[in-house]
Amino acid sequence: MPEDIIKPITEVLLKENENIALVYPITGFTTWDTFFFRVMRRYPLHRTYDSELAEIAADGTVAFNFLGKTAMGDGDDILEVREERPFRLLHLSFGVTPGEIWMYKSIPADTVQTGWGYVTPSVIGDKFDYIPGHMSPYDNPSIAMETILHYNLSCHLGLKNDADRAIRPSIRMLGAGYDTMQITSETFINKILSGVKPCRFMTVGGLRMFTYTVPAEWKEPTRADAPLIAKLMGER
Amino acid sequence: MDPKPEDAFPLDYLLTNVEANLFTVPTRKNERCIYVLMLSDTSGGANEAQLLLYDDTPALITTIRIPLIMNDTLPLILPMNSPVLKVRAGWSLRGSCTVNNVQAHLMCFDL
Repeated sequence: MPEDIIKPITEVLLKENENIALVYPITGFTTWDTFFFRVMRRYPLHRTYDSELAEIAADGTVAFNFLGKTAMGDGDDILEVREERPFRLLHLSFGVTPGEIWMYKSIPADTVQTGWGYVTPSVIGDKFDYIPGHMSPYDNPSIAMETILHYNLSCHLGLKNDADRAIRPSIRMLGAGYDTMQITSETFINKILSGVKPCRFMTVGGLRMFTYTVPAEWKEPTRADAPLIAKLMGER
Repeated sequence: MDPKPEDAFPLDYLLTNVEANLFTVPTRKNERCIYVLMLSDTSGGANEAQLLLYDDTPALITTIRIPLIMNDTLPLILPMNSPVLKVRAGWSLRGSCTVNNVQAHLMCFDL
């Protein structure tokens, strides 16, 4: 059963000793680079972003930018993972209030998230590729804005005020930080890919093509392609 | 999507004996729902507020007449999911009163 995309993020956060896989695209969309991790410890992530945001005029937009400590695009990036924590993963969602604020996500920073097939990247204000506060509300951020972050992977947000009045929105980030250990055992990874071992797979960067960058400390990814999946499914 | 209190916003107007536009619902919306309507007479006498609904032509669709007792406040308050009045996208709500003035306070949300 597919997960409901507006399920609360709190229902899919991982616990210690659970597995997570991050899936990145490779040119041609026939192969995917997949990194597997075991959660060793975790801690809640909770942060609100209120006065840091400026009022947005009716039907106005805010360009993609990082969430800075003092304002969007100003001060230290509050979502940045430190270089000395290469195996730290931040698993969170964004909720916004009121519901008429639209959130656009860009992760990595220059990759606007999309699930549609358009060749031209969406821009802020488009009536697609956005998540409104109704789908990921402030008091209950949902899977619709699910995000994974690690060192070398940034996330920028863009906003649109779809209301007929000026609004100063509030954003709430809710999730968990994980200290992880990379899984490198081919046998174990094959069991995950076969569906024998449980694992939460996470698409990074939407369905766009982009060149990804991961910490240098990470071991080589598993290249999942049709022959590998066919072989593993045949072994089940 | 059910409306939530956080999506509601107030609108306040001073109605006069000259008909004036209160608002036009943006065409990018579906409709504006008014679930709180409070009218206060400040004329010191018997009065009547008129709310006039225009379509996007604009043609007058209907006139709602609300009698008010001297210095009284008439509250029309319903749950968010069953609004007092709905105004479609592109349509306008105009208002006036027989004798100056009537203070109007509305709580709305847009769908």
